[in-house]
This record gives sequence, structure tokens and C-alpha cells, in this order.
Amino acid sequence: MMLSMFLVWIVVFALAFFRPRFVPPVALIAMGWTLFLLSAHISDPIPLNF
Amino acid sequence: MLTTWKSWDADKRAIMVARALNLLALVALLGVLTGSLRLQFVVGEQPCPLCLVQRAGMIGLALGPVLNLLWGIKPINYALSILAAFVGGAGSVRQDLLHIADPADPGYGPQVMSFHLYTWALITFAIAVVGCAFLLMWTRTFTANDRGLMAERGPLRALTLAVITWFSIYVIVITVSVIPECGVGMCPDDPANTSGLASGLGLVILLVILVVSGLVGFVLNRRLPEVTS
Repeated sequence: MMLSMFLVWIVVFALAFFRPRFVPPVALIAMGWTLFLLSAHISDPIPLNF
Repeated sequence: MLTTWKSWDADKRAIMVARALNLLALVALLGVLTGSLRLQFVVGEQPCPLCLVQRAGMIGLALGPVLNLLWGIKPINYALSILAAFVGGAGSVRQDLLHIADPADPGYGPQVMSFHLYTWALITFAIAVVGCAFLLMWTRTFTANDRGLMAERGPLRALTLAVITWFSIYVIVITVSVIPECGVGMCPDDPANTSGLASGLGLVILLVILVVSGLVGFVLNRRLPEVTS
């Protein structure tokens, strides 16, 4: 799963060279996917009443 | 005539300073990533999933400077960097809270100058957001009609392409290194450490990457046409 995250980021980087106009939408997708994977790896709550 | 010349000169000066700042930001990010890759490959400390999210945030953070340098300085590029800083920062904040919630928790991984890497990552993301905000206030760089270094062959383009090549190599190395650690599935929360490479070998590999990046930058600068986006 984390591999897919970096593969998407590689695509974003490649677009920065060859198709810069497409970078913002694809970068937003990459960020969304990164946040999804972050939430998928949050397995336990943090007690914020310390 | 004189007014036009003065105005053009001030625009060009602003563009050059903004380009230097963007290049500096990219080099600073390379420094942070070099430190984390040294820990991974030389010390043998494998990155946790949250560390990988922060690395992805660093990669996203670099997008702004890369686009600004190659295709011209635009507000949207800084906006992308700010959003990426928040994405990476979410990983840093999660990891910081995770380890300060329990006072007995020693934290994850070794410390660098009294801070763990995730704390340094959070500091990096915070500085990036503040830096982008200040650069967004510098409206002259947006009205100067900068077409980017892809439109200008020269030493600065060669240097920029070399730095971007260096960054691209890191992105590929980070991606490939995920395969043995996580495969194609979810990464383990606390991955097993490896023995690591010899320190000298790590330095040699870094030098090879630097030389290759420099050569690629030089060749691309000569071969690429002066185009506009």
C-alpha cells in the first residue's frame, strides 16, 4: 500500500517535467491517498487529556 | 524608457532572488532526506509507516520549488507546497503525540541534536508553511512574468536540473526501499532494523549520486531546448 503512495508521487514528479499543467490535480490525489494511508496506519487512539 | 528599464531590472532581480530561495529550499529538503536515508541505510534504522508518510510530505513539499524553478514562479506552486506540508505534518504530529502521550516512552528511533526525526520533520514542515506564506506576499515575483528556467539555457538551469535529478534519485530510492520492508501490503508498525552499510560505502554512494546528478544536469541543460510551458 505504501508502495502505491510513492508510485503516485513518482507520477506527480514525472508530470512536473513533462505535463506541468496536470500536476495540481494529480498532486491533490497523491495527497489524499497519502492521508488515507496515514489514517489506515492509525491503529490506536492517542489520549489527549494528558 | 529609463522607468521601463528600472522596472524590468527590479523584476529580474526579484525573480533571481526568488529562484535562489526556491533552490535553497530544495537543497534543504535534500539535506533532511539525506539524513533520513543515512539512518535507514548506514545505521540500519528502518522507517516506520508514519515516517514514510512524512517522507511523502517532503516529496510533495519539493513540488513547489521544482515547478517554480522549471516553469516560472506561480502562487499555485506555493499552495501545493503548503498543502503537502500539512499532509506530512499530519504524520509528524501523529507521531509526536504518540510518543509524548506516555512519559515513559523513549520515542521512536535515534535522536539528532536532541530531537527525534519526526520532530525535525514537523519543524521542517512548519518552516516551509511560513516560508511559502512570506513568498506568497512577494507579489512582484508573480507579476514579473517569469517563464522559468526551462526557457533559459545556462549555468543556473544546469544546477537546478542537477539538484532536481538528485531529488528524483532519492524519490526512486525511497520507493524501491519500501518493497523489501513492506512489500505491496501495509507496512509493519515497528519494522525490524537491519545491519546497515559501512559508513564509507554510504559516503561513496552519496558521492556517486552527486556526480551522476551533476552530469545529468549538465547534459540536460545542453540538450533541452529553450521552451515555454
